[in-house]
Amino acid sequence: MKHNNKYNKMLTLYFYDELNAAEKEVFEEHLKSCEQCQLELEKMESLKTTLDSIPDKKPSAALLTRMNNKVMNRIEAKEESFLVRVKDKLLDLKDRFSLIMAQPKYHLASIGIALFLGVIIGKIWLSTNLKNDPQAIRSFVSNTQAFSEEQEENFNKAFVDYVFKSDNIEVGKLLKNNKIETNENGIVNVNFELKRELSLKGGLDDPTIQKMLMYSAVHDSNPERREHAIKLLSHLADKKHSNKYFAETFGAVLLRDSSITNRNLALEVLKDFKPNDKILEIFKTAALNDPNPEIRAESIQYLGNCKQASNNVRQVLAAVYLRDSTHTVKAAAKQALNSLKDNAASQDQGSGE
Amino acid sequence: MEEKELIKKIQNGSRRHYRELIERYGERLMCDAYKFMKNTQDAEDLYQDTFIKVYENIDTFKFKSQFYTWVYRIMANLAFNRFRKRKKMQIVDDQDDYLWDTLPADHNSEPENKMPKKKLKEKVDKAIANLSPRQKTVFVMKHYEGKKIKDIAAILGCHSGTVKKYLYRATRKLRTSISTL
Repeated sequence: MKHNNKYNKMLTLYFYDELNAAEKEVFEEHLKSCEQCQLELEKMESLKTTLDSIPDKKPSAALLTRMNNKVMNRIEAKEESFLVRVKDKLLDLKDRFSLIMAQPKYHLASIGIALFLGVIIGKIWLSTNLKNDPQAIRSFVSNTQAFSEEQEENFNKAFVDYVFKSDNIEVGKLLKNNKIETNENGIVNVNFELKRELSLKGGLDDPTIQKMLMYSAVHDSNPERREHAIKLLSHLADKKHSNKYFAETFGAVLLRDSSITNRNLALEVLKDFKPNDKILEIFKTAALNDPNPEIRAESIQYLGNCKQASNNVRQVLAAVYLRDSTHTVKAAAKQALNSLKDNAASQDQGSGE
Repeated sequence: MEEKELIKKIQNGSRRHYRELIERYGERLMCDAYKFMKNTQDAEDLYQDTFIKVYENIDTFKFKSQFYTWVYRIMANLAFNRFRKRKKMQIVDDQDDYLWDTLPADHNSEPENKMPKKKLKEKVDKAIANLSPRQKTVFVMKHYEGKKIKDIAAILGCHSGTVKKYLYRATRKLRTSISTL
């Protein structure tokens, strides 16, 4: 079979196994008798041998890590450069606008634009019914109409929650001033002034209500309102043991409140609390310092009945017995010391048997 | 994580997951890039350009083909563009690049002439460098990657007949150049 260019092309495809069965048969038939094709096929084999004898390369793990870092850095840089470009363009525009408007000849233009805008706003104003409706104007200006009663209550609740949760606001100073003070570190303290009273509705089991009452029991300037808050809180008899802030609230009332009624109320509530270090500390302080002898005597009585009383409690009772000028208080302290002594003796006996 | 899930996360804008994806295919792509470029420096550049282009276009990947096939197509086209821009392929001595491991050569393929491997590689690189960009791209895909002609046509977006033509011309040129070695 005579050689022609067609077989040259077929030879490459034959070498790479890309001929279909029929083409392959034709070519193999031709190959048997064509010396030129046989020679070319040998050359192809030789080419393959030469190419395959050159060792291939494989990247090391270190190279791949380096390359992957480079890829990620380039992606990051590209994304950032886009944002930076947009920001720069905006700053350029701003600068250009400021420069133009700073020229004296544009001052007049600025006044003209302001006048023009004023006229447009006036026109809009006159075209609406706002000018004839004082209620609508109030609403437009203060936007107070936007809240329904329920929304307002929810907002107040959320606001109070925020105030009590926030670590940056000194709650006790909320009502005192609205000065802005800067300390040496440049930190600004902003104290809010609440301009109106917040009215909350909710059950006594509502945590927000409880927080408000606890705040009021300690911080309210009016003793009657404090009393009211303490009474409301004391109604939560079955829940008070679960809330760690209750003891602190009643303790603060007992140790700080100027009203004897309020301190008595707090004392009665605290007597029901399970004794612990904190409660004992409150009663010890009241026994030593309360200005009212009855409260001191009642605190002493509580300490005398307390089974967990330590040496420290005995020292306090002894100090009261020696120092207190009121006879009834002295008597109470002596009785409490005796009671503790009896308790200790019976405990010793029990352990001896 | 499944490949599809990973790609979807990247399509939703997670750059962190892209790192995971390139780590999966890194070695394979780098080896393929080396087969195209025949020197480590160009292979590394092609690798980076490919993965950056893949990231930029990943939204267009619709899961109709294997992900690596799609990546390979991007790399082959980038390689072709590089060949076209740089008429002469650079012949670089990268035998001592310590970041690359040299794989053992095919022992059944010992050429008749006993020219040192380094010298032989230079000559072969030079012969391949003399191919046109199309011839070079087709030849690498066929000879080194063993791809079918119809697949090469799909990658390059041309007819199978065109691929056959380039392959024939490439082998003819190489037979002539290498037979003189």
